[in-house]
Amino acid sequence: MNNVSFEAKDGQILGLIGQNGAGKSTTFHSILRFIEFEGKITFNNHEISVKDFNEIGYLPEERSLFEDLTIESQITYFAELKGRDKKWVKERIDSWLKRFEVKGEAKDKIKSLSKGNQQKVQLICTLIHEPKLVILDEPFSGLDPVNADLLKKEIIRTKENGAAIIFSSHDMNNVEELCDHVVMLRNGNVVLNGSVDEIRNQFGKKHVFVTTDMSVNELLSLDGIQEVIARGANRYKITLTDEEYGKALFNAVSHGEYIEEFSQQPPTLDEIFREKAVAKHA
Amino acid sequence: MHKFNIVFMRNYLLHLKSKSFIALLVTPIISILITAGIGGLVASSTSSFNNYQVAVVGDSSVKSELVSKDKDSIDTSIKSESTAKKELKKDNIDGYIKVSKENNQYKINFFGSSSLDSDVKTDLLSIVNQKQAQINVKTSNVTSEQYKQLSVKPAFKSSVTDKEKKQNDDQKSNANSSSIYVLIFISYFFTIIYASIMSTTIAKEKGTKISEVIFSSVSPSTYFSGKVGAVIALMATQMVIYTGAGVIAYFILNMYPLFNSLFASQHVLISTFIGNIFSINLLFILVGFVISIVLAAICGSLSANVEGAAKSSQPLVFLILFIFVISLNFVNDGFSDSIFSQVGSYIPLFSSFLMPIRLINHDANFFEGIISLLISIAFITFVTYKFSNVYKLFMLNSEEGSFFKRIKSALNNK
Repeated sequence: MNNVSFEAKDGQILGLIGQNGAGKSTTFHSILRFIEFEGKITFNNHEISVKDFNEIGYLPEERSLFEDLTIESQITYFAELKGRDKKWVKERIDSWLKRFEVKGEAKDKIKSLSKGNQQKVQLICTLIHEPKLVILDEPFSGLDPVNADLLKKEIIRTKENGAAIIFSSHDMNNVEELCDHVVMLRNGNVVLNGSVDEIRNQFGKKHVFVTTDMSVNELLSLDGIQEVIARGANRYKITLTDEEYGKALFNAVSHGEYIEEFSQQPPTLDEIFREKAVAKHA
Repeated sequence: MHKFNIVFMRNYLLHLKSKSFIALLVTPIISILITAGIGGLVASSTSSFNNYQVAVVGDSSVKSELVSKDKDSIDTSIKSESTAKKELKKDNIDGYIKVSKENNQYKINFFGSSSLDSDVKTDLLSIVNQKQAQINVKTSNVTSEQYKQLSVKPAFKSSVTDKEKKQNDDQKSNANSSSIYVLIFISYFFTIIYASIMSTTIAKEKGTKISEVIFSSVSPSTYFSGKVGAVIALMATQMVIYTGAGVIAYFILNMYPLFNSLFASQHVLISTFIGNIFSINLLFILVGFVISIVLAAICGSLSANVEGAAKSSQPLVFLILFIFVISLNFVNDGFSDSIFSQVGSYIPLFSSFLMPIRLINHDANFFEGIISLLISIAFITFVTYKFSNVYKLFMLNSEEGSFFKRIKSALNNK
């Protein structure tokens, strides 16, 4: 890791993205003091230490629970280690199990649950003690779309309660949907740092989604057109060499008349991710 | 301290409720009960064969005095000669004694399938001689002074004290060697069992991300201390249960005449044995357990996964086995003060086996024992402190490969 610096603010979600081996987990391990490093990581204006761990919730990349424990004892044990009283936790377990739609009773053994439900229990363990900083390493991996939506709801709920959330993901749609701020790492260096809109706009509004009678060749013959991709009958995604050619393109396809679709947009986070990842190899 | 308590209690209760611990706790008790049961059955079958019983009919005063002396050998339910004859015929008694008095003379007739038991015979003759003497005094009209003269007995001095002293010394010697063997075997078996429990417990969390969740909640030193403390408490629980069971068994058995007389005759052996066990020697055993458990925890954290726990703890198991075998050579008085034993009795873990031997054999004094104990405690403190600092690195390292490669890899993450 080199000169990595970013801030996760209260009530905001920060997405940490990057290819495998970019340094996402190492960043999390540094925050949690699993490894030694040169530099400073602060939490509430002081250097983060084991004393702050009660206010941190951490979900590791691979899920892991004590399989011989019951759901209740598992959740209670981890919450107690986070400084919560056993009674306080037990009062909340049922409502959390209900919210996450866990298929099982609190007295069921962890090993009797399906993988998906075990993952939900692990998420409950991460969040139930109401942490101020939540670190989620690939929280959506292994979740079906329905359960992913449940998790998204909880992440947003936690954010609304004022917690700072950092999560890593390879699914840029989730990042774009949830994150207020994105940091991209590549080989241990920060290559992107800003809000989702800021980052997308950095790359210019070079993408145009248009519906027109013009053919691909006709479109390619216009000035400032880099690429035309057909998306269906008369529907295209056009990449401009510069966003300034957007106005000329609009005039060319509309001739001042009504057209069904013309949308000039910056690249998606997914496209930016691919571009940055490719740049690594350039 | 609060988080230590949580880790400690959770691990302790988990172990305590586990089937493996219950099996570990109950198996020796069941083995002892089965062995005692078999022994009891054999004894009862042979004792029923050997149980000597006679009836006494006739003079009631002689009978009552004999019953008071030989209660176990007299069948008091038989009151008449005809009943006694019937019972003898049925082989329910070994015989009957008929006591009668004719013309100021006691007459004793014994009818039996075998000779009258010598103890019963001696007691019977003693009682009857005394009664006959009283009659003789009355009928011969001697004065009380003459009677006193006639009653003078030869002087008899018993030298049983020396014999008793020798017996006591023998019992003490037997108690010393038996307590040394018991201490060594307890040390060996408990150390091996609990070292295995500890390394497996630690290794269970290796190769999983559960350690990351734990270390994001609690400091590694607190977690490590809690886990090690739980296993030590578990072992202490087993020892307390066995001690309690032993005390209860003693009091129950003491209610039976057979054991009561056995305990009474062997009281020197028993008290010396108990004194040897429940003394500074017990502290050596406990300290030895703690050292083994801490070292086993280190071994467990160096395994790649739970399957590798046994392999990782092999060096420790071999070391304990080596100390056990070596210490057996020093059990006998005279061998226990060799230079190896002297030096070894100050080396942690070795001292848990060797120092109790030297103390029991009076080759080392209490002060030397305390010094050896302090060295071991300092060793435990040092190792625990040093290891708890790198415990996190070992636990979070999922490197495969050789033992030393894993150590190197873990320390490189520092």
